[in-house]
Amino acid sequence: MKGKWWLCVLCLVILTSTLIATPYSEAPVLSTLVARGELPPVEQRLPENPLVIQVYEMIGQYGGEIHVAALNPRGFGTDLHVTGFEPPLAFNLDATVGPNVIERWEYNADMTSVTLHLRKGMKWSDGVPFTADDMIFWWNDEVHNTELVAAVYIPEFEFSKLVKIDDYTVRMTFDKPYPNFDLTLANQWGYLGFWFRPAHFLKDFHPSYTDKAVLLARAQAEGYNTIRDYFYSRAGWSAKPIHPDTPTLIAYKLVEARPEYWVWERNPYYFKVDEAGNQLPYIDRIVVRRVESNETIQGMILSGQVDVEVWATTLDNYPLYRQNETVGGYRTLLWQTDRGSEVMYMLNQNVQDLGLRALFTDVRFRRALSVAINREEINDLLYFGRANIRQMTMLPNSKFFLPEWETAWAQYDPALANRLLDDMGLTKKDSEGFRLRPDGKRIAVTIEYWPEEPATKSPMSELIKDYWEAVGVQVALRPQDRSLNAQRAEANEIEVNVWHGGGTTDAAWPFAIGLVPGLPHKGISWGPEWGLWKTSRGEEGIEPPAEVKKLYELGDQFLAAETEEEKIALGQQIWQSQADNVWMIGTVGMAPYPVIVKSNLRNIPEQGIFSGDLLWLHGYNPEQFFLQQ
Amino acid sequence: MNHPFLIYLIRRLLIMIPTLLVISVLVFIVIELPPGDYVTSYVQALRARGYEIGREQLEALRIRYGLDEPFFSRYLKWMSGLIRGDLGMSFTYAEPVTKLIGERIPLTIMISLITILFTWLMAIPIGIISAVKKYSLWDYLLTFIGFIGLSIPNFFLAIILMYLGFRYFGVSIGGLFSREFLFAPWSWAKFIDMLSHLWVPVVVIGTAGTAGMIRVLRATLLDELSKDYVRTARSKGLSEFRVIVIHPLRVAINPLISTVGWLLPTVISGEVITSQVLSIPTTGPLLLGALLNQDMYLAGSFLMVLSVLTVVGTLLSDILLAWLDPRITYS
Repeated sequence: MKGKWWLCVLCLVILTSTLIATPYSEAPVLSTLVARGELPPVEQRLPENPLVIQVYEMIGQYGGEIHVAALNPRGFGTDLHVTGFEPPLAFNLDATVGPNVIERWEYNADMTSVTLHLRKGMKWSDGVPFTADDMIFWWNDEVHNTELVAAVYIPEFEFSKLVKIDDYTVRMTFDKPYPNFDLTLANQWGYLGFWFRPAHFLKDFHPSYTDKAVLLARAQAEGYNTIRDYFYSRAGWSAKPIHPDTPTLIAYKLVEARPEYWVWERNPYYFKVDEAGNQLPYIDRIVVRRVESNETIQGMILSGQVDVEVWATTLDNYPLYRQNETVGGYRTLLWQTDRGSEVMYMLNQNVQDLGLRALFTDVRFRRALSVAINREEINDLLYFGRANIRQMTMLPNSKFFLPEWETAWAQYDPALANRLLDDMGLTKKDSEGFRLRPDGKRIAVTIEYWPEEPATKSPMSELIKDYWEAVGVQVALRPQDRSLNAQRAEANEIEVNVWHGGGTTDAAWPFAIGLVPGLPHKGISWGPEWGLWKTSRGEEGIEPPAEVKKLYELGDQFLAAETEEEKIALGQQIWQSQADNVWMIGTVGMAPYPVIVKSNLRNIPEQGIFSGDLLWLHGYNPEQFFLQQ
Repeated sequence: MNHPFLIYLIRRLLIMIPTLLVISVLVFIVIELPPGDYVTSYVQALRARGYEIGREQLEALRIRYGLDEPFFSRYLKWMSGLIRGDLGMSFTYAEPVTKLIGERIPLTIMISLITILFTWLMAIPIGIISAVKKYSLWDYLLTFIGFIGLSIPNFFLAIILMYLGFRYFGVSIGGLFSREFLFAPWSWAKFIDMLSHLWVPVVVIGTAGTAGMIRVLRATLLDELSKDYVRTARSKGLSEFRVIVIHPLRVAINPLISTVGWLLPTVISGEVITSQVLSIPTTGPLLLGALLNQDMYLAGSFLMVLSVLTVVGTLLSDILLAWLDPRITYS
């Protein structure tokens, strides 16, 4: 009797210990492979400390297949967002930075180096351990290999060094304090820059590790001219794996790449689990169908051929999506863009026509044109009244945001506009009612734009033309091809530049302050020649006035600011300048954005933000989407 | 093989060399004509998606793609590659052009051949009927249908047929297969599924070509029908079928033969607009995309392939014509 009791306790102990030893579960398809001995058990596949993902609605169910469409499966499209990509660090939805592939990171005291800790026991999709060597391989043999890369691509690399500390630790050091490096690791550079390469696999394609003659012969056999093209045919040019043989860290691995479709299957070594310890992703397979145009994708949505579409949807098709929901078996979610202004107008402060330049640089002129715009009408006509009327500025949830910036010179007041223009002395009008410049010529401006991204640029510019002509400023519209537009902007030939007012989230703006609106830069900007003056350190371009020089100074201080308070104070001064000067004339921002998902696809919010700054779906963790049975 | 023919052939082959050289220069110039290059268009696309690229990176990209070199040296590089059969690399896809075109060729050829077959099967009988029964109800009716096919733009007809197919027959949009058959092994049901998608491009592309062919055939056949040898054949008591098909049709079909060589590039070029609208992965949309993105080697090499096929096709046509029609001499 006594002996049996002990036996029971022993059984219980063993049972509990096995339960503790395997707190993780896996997809049924993988259990089958494990049972057959073709795959190690899940606890051996996961890192010691997997990244735990909070599910959005509920713990999901494993299995199923989703179809998406893509114009170019090697490029950007919805497929990239559902198969996922893994930057070193990841943005949380509030634009703070959290762990991802890198488990922890710490700066030294003067912010000249950052130590990055990888996850112990993490593995590539082929089961080979992922270690610091994979990062060092990328740094030494790719970034700093002249045969492979003609020039360093990421600006930070010019003043940084990467060294290995141990198998799971690396350290990046900078020539100067660089407090924004965690943003770099989480944003587009983190995503574009790879950071991790499967060294064990790629050495076989690398000129430092494999005989060049052999490599070249193999390259030519596959139709590549150079070792470099051959290397990148395996390594990939963007964050997306493009060859089925190449091991990956993302949730899915490519198993088949054909002209008509690409097939992705779950990566059995993926490093993320849900709160209940289920290894992610939930969905087994992703089929990417190659299409030839975005219009086809609309047709495929309506006929239920795709299960998720976030890339090719357009707001003007929204009624059509809603109408066909039952036929197509999908839900239409209405998300929001992250744009401070969907479309904004920038009076080129360096415009070549000196008569116009005198007007454009007068703040009264910019304010007048801004209050001449009927934003409510724009909202009603182009956005079903569901966008937000606002001046071009940061988003309301930004730590830099002040509410009065949103309304600064954003009211509709043509009388005020006329008064401001009259105050400038532009009271003489010609027979057609257009105002005359001091030199006697009619005030006529040309708005040039590339009529896509967003497509509302065209109809909105038509409206702007009416509003500005109503206060006596003649407007000509010149939609043009994107390359022509870029080239004319580059040559400073554009009078009024049009662009989407993006980069207004805390994820993007503090990082790329000199490149996104905030400071004038070279290219499509409100002061391209000033931007050139700044980047060429005063050798080229036009020297800006004191006010703009001050902005550049603030920008430099901002990028070096170490404390949060300092950063916010400096950032707010920069945006205050926009509110006062209306460098960029905003219209409406944070517009609705339709997202299509299959009816039974769960764990995706009804209302989200479709934000390039936050890497689109990444913050919503597409690996925890699932198909409810 | 007789002597004058051989000389003719050699002369024609030699003329092809300077012709193709001139074409290659023209192709290269045309591709270089639009403002900017691949990098400007790529960077603009990136910017629109919220990426920003600085000046140094721009230069680095130009060097990476070899766009910093002068026009002439880029042309020479491209041309010497072409001679060696190397069509270059696509910027957009980062893959060899040969591979990209190659993977789309089988489907392109299949659709083109079915379409050509469809066109001929429609056009030749209709052409004969409308010539023989000139100004009859049949003539008017069939000619009318042919002209409708000719005058409706392909993209428009494609959209209408696609809509009708989706609305009334539940045919899915995009590609040649419904999703449930994408991975299924070949079966009768899969074949039917493919046909339900395939008829749209075939009808669209086919009807466009039919009308022209009907008119040409009708006109030449009418010319021939009034000639003496036809009357002789009739008076000899030949059956009406033999009178028309064996004698005048052989002559009337010459204009079709003389253009048969042009089918060669057509078969490979994969009707750009129709394929684009219907999203069929033929070579057409590839070319369109390459031109839009200024993916110059993809676009240029592909245009060169089409030019070579046109030149070769014309030669083949001429040879075929000479062989079929003894009245043609090699001078």
